[in-house]
Amino acid sequence: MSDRLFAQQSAEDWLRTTEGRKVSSTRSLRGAMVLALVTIVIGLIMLSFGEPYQQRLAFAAYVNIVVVVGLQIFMGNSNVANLSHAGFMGIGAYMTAVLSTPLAMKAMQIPDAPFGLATTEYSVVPTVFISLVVVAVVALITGMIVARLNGIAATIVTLALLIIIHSVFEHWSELFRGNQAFFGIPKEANLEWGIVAGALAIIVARLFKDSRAGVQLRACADNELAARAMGVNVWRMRLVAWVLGGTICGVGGILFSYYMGTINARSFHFHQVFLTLAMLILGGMRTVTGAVLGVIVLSVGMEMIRYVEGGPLIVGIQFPEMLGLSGLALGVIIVGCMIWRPNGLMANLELDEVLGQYGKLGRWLRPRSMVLDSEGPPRAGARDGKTSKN
Amino acid sequence: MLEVSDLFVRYGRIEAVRGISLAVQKGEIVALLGPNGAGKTSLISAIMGLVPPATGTVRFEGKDVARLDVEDRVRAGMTLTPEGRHIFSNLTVAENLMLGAATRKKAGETNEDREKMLDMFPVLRERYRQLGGTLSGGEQQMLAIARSLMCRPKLLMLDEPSLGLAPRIVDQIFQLITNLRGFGLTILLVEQNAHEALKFADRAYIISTGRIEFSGPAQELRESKDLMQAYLAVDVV
Amino acid sequence: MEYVVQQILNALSFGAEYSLLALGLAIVFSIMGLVNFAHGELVAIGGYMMYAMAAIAIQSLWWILPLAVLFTVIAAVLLERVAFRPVRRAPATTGLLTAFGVGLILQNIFLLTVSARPRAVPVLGPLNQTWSVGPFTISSLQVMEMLATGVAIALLLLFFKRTPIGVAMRAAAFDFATVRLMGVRANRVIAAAFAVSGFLAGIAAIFIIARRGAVDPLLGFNPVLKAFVACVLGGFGSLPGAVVGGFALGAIEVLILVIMPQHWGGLRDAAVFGLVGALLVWRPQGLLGKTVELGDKEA
Repeated sequence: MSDRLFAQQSAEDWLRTTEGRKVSSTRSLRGAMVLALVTIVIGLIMLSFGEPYQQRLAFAAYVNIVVVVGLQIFMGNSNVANLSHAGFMGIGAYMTAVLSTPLAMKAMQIPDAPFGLATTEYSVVPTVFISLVVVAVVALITGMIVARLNGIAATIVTLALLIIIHSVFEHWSELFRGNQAFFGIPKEANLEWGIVAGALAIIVARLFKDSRAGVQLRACADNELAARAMGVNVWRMRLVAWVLGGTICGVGGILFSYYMGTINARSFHFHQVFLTLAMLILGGMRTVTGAVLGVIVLSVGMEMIRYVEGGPLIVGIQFPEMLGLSGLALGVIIVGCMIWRPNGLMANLELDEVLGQYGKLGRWLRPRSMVLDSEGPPRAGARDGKTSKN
Repeated sequence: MLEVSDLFVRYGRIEAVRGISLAVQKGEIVALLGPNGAGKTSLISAIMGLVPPATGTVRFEGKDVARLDVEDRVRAGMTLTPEGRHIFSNLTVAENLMLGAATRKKAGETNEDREKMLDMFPVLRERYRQLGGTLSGGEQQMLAIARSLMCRPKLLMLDEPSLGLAPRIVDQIFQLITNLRGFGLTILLVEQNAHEALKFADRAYIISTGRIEFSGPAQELRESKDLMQAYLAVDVV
Repeated sequence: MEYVVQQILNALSFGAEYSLLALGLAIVFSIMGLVNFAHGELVAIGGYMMYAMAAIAIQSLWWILPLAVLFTVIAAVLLERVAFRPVRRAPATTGLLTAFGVGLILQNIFLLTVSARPRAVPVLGPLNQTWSVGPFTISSLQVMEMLATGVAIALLLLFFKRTPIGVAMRAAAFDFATVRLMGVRANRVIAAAFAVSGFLAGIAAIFIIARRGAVDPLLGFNPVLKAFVACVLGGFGSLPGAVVGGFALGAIEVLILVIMPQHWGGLRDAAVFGLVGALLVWRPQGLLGKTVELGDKEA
């Protein structure tokens, strides 16, 4: 048995005790709050001082935080590459569009919508609720297939899913308006919504990661045969991660719709997949901090690259337009990370684990200081968090 | 011909080989004995280059082979018949042998050698066009050894050739190995079946938990009931 | 009756193309375990090479076609050396994502260096003619493609059976580590795999360009998807599976085309993927695949 598997099994035993669970979720919650706080602070700064276009960019980043965190929940814990998350985002977005667009707008665009949707209009709360239910149901059904498969096979199925979902958006014209834009969605969302959603997603993802299901799932990813031999129900763990992650991606889509007011199928296709994938890979897919970091770094980075791509005028020198630079950059980032740093910038550490070494903040972040590292099984009770060899 | 000094092999935190030194002279048959999990396979894999040693040196014919890839060590004259035989089940006997000779340049000599192999292992001639996967355990072992011999090695290393085989076949295999000495081969044999191996080995090492516990002439080991009992769990009658 | 025969011909010719593409993918996967998402870009490279040659006034097909294939082979081997060798020992997911990234890079290099717009390659025009044979209309391309695929498969069979490197590749697909014990260089086997993959991609490129008449940066995208589906259908990693899967996919596509009412035509892709997905749920190892339980030792 590998060291990590052993450590995680011990972690799991500890989590079986009520005490263990309480301590662990406290720890998780506090860690998540630190990360969420960082994003909230950034958001508040943007709210107070940002120009309108910067606020728009910030909102896009928050949507991406939600989506990439959703992606992390599945990919980071099960170690399976998922390509369909943009599809779930799209389902959330289109559901919102179809349900909440004012009747007048709907009559213009989708007069023949099935299920009587052309004649109904819902306000925010029911829309969000129904959209989430739809996303969750789709995730549940698709998850039952994906969860069964391993590694590459699963990834290929997620690819198929992405294509099928996109195809449905593009061609079910009565409902989704084909490959034309769907406009008129009420712009209910603003930056505050984005910030809140981002923070909530972070907390959910972190709680899942450190929950029994999350720990078990990561154990499976390392060595499935051994994990199954220890009685872990791989299938169920994966399904939970898939549905949870997919639903959160759906939340991202809902936000997107309510902010942009106009959507089309292309926003939920390969470009979005590559962008969010690169963000997760760059930041580090094993941690929620990695997901957030990747979004922040790439959101800023891509803006700068797009600026250059458009042929800017800098210091009187006219740079040529270089279409394709941003795509190229994305590809280079993905390949570069895979070659030199496959675990991304954060590797295996969450923000609170990095900060957790220092003083009072550290002690608050590590209630009862359970030491979980690759040196051996956890030992509860060490007050100052110093590890010593067994 | 082969000198191993102070070899350490580690897998993460686990030390499989802890400072082993051994030597094999030209023309000898040396046996590496010891219980399961003693580190014998790790040792031999490190010698062959399949696994990088943490520290220590391996010299073959006086030259340090540490920098050489597996493929180059084969060209230098070392060869390994791995534990579990690892013949190519999806290839025919003929193709398995062809691959064994992959490093040979002269077609004529290769054909000669192949004929010699088929003479030595007549069952392989019978099954020449059959898929490797259809052979019995003993036949596969013969194929594996023949395949190793096809590259005209100077040093033949065998990892547990008797594993999983019926006693009668084991006898056959060991008889074969003894005959190989006549080809001018030097042989390093890893075996759990100490009893059989000691019958024809010149020298033996006993390895236990990554260290050498005994080293000396096979005769000495055969006659020492204590040693046999202690390390090899052999009840010598 | 003519309609049926016509559709069978269509299915066969689609199937031939998908088999070519799927084989290229399967060869690399069976030996290295790498899912080469960048395979479609190899097809695009072939296309752009043909465009470039035409642009520098090479007009003879006798030069353009073989050179295009040659360049694609070289590109494939280079690609492995530069992009995939560093991740050779990494887990499969890493390789897959790397291939994605490489594909993305190549697509955008085409975008940056040539143009986002399709570039016409009229020089291949003469290949694309319609022949009337009795009541049937066949495209000369269809016939040539089926022939080319047949020849390619025959050549491959010979290669794998008779040449030492081919036998080594088959062995490597079964047990790479032991092949190295034979003294066969790992790098050479892998380079050979990519070379064969490039060869097949180059041939496919000829027919794809001839049919479309032009090359654009996103050319490789669709072919590689189809190749995947075909491989998965037939059993990922199996070479005969790739061929069977390719023809099966061709048949399924034609079937769906025939059955589905015209105005739902766009959902055709979804339907094909859905059908394939359903097939995989029933038989996850593909049509020709073997079920391998975790922890199985091979024979």
